[in-house]
Amino acid sequence: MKSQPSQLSSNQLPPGPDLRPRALWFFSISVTIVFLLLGVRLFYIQILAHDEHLSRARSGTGRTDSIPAYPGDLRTSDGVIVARSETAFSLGLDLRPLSEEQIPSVVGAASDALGYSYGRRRERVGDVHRRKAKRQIYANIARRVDGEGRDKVRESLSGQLEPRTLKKALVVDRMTRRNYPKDEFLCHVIGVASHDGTGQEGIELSLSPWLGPRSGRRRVITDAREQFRIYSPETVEVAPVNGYDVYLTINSKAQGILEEELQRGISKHKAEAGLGVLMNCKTGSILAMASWPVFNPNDFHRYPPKVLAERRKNRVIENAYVIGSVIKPFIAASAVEAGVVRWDEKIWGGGRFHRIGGRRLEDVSNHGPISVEQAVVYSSNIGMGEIGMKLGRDRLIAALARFGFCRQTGIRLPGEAKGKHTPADKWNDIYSTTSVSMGYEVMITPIQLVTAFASLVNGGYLVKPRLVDKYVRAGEVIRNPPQLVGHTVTEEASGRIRSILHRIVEEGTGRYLKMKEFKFGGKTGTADMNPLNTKEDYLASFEAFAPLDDPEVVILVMIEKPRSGKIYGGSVAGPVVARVLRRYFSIPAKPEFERLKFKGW
Amino acid sequence: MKIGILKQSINPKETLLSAVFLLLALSAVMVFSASAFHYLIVEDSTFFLKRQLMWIGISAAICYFTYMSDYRILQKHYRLGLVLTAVALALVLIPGLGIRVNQSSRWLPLGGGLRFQPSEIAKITVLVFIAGYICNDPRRTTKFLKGFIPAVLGVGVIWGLTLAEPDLGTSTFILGLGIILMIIGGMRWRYFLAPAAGFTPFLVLFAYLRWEMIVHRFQGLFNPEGLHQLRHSLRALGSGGVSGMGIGAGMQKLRYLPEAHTDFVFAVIGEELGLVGTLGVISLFLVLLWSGVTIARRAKDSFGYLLAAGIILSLGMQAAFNIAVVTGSAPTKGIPLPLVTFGGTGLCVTMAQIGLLLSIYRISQTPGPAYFSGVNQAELTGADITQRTDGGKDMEL
Repeated sequence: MKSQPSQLSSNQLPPGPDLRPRALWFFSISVTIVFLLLGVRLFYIQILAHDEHLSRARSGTGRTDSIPAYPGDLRTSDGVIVARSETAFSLGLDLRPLSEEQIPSVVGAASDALGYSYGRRRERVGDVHRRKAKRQIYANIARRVDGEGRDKVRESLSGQLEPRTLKKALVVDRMTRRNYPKDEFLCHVIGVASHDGTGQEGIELSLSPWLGPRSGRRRVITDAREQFRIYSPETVEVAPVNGYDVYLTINSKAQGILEEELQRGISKHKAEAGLGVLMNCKTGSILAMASWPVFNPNDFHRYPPKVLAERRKNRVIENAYVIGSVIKPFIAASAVEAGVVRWDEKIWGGGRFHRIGGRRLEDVSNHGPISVEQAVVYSSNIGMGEIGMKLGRDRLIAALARFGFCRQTGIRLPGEAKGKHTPADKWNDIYSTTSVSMGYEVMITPIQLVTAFASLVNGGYLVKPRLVDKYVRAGEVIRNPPQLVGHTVTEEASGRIRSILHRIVEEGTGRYLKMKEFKFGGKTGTADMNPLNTKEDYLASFEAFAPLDDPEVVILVMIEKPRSGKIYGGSVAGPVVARVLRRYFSIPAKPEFERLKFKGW
Repeated sequence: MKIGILKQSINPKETLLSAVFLLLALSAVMVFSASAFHYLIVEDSTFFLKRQLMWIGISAAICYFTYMSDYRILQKHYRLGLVLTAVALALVLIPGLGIRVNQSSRWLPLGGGLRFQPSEIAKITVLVFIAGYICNDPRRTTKFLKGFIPAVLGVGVIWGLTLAEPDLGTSTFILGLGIILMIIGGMRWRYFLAPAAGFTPFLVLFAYLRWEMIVHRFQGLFNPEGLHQLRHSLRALGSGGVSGMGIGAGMQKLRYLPEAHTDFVFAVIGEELGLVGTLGVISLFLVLLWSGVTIARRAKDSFGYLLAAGIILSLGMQAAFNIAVVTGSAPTKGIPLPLVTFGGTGLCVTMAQIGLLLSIYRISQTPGPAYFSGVNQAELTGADITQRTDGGKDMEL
């Protein structure tokens, strides 16, 4: 009508003293101002303090989880997997949805599915009961079972629980586990690693930088109670990288033969321990390496500590032995190289006994007048004593050093021993000189010995023992080439030594190992492991190379403390070597050769 | 006058409805986003979305109904609403009947899993009561014993019952709303002195006795990291930045921020839509506020004026207080963000209030006499306006 409210100005409307339009103005403008102030506050929170709040929110709403990566496999050069990582599952129970009464049947069913013994089953049930009573929310029921085990447990629990409860109660965590499919095979070389791939022993330890994976990282958003995890592909911060697969130089066939024959030799001679190495003498590649007693890496943590201490030892590299006569070719060759004697020079006029300085030396039998060559062939202590005396202290020590004795070879295995000899300042010019020439007063590891022996027959090239052939990862191949360390003897000397070593097998201390079809050379050794007391513990060794004309492999077998009555290197260790060589070079076995009687040196 | 033309060319109904529509749309999206995570618990990610959409539908119907009906009916029955609300609030307090949540019983069961919050209703019935009380007899504004005291008692009953739930936030809000409406309605200033004087000693005593609680309440203003809810609310807002993390990408709602889809939904808006979203919401509420103020000013009678003023101040103050709580600028109290927060009763009441505003506007646009209470009305306008001093007997158009 006449006065439309909309036409009135604000302070007139609504007119009348009763209403207070100014109050509405005041309140609505106040609310507006509050809104504007809140806008300023929001600007502060959302723009100025953005970074601070964002970092707090990030750290508060999730965590960084690692993305598992797998350690690499270990394979022999011919591709047999000897250590691998596989997916495993840890099974646990969320105790919240389970009632006290359900626990025995649930845990019992799970234990049955896993094939637990009665005692273990009881122990599990009791443990879960205790946890429930303590109001803990989680109890483990199995660690690192395979997918099959997981499915079995899930199936057995589905008979006990509602599907909904089962989904809540059974907690399955995925993880990796380290598995050694060949059990004891090559155990000392492989060693053992924990399930996440951290090496503890053997090549697993020394190559852990190669085998080891680099696990990735990703942000995981969790809800406040960490009940759910939300993953998204964009949150991967570091991609996981698996470890390299390592191909060893070990030949699985050779390793199998060596292990089998070594074990046979040890049990036949009732020995305590033994070892064997088969090496490619040109490249230094270890084709087989065995030590006895053995352990199963899969059960590494189940051995009693004392048993494990004995079994875990890789004697080839961790033990330094007083090696005895097997050192004789090295000393003789050094003497000839040094020019103090010639191979065919007569050094002893004959007889079993001889006195050098104040020391009486004794041979096993009288070989008549002998040359340097014959001293090696018949393993004459008197002859070697004379050669040693001609060489003298300094040249003997230098000879040991040249062959790499008493020095780590640098093989990629942990715990390599160094060995030692009588130091120059404590050297007795009679006793020490003659002892070292016969392989006493000097301790050498088998790996040093076999490496030096390879150089003796391969033309004088001292190579580094090589255990790793190549590292492979996703098409990337990194080779580990052979490495020359030094020169020991000349080519001619090497040739002469090969023929001498062959003579040992033909007519010397190793003549009972002679094979008609196959020519090889070697040197026996029998060392008294306790030279200072009467207890008769011997170390029977045999080192050999084959084939004669163009040596391909060298082999060393040592058997500790044989108790079968036979103690000599030629009769205890020698047959093992001969059998390994036969089988390795596929020479038909000659049934008689073991039946030949050994008549002493 | 240019501004006047501009003012007239803006249709408050359209701006109001646009703001309401946008806020409701945002509500559906953000309630869904903030509650979708619950599928991990209740196995239905749309559980809250479906309910919110249902309530939006129901409340839209209520809004339309109130819009089409004549708000002036309320003036006649201004006491009825108050009495019913008081009864409902009293029922809530009966143990076993009211639903207790967090040591406070605020809900009445409706059956079918639905529940109803009488204190939300109180927010509208108190407005109707004061507006009706004053407009039915304008002389009440000038009398203390027969005018002021009954109004205070009416509001006081509701205040007391709400406080007893206990719900300090809502009760204080209702009391404040009543006082504000009495002030706008023209209640004499000096009348407020006596209750204020009588009340102050109690306030001082209360402050003295419960000082630690008060300090704790206001702790959030100075040390938000110390309060769990506020800490996560600020992290949510702060990590939003300018444009937010994107709808659904927020993290604080993953059970870090309590009440993410109800009282603290604004924090989720800030996290997922950033400053753009939060300032957008504030702008929408400002549009809502000033559309409402315009409607109030154009109201045809003083009841409509008072009612519209009360409604729009109620909505504006609730929104401002909620945002202040979420931003750590006010002590944490359960005041919802109107139209956005999940909750059936609140949404229905708010939409009924919007409907009333629209009804007031609709009737102001119809030809007919404008009724203003107050003895000086006719003198001021010089129009032949029927004086109403008899409780609105000639209400029909």
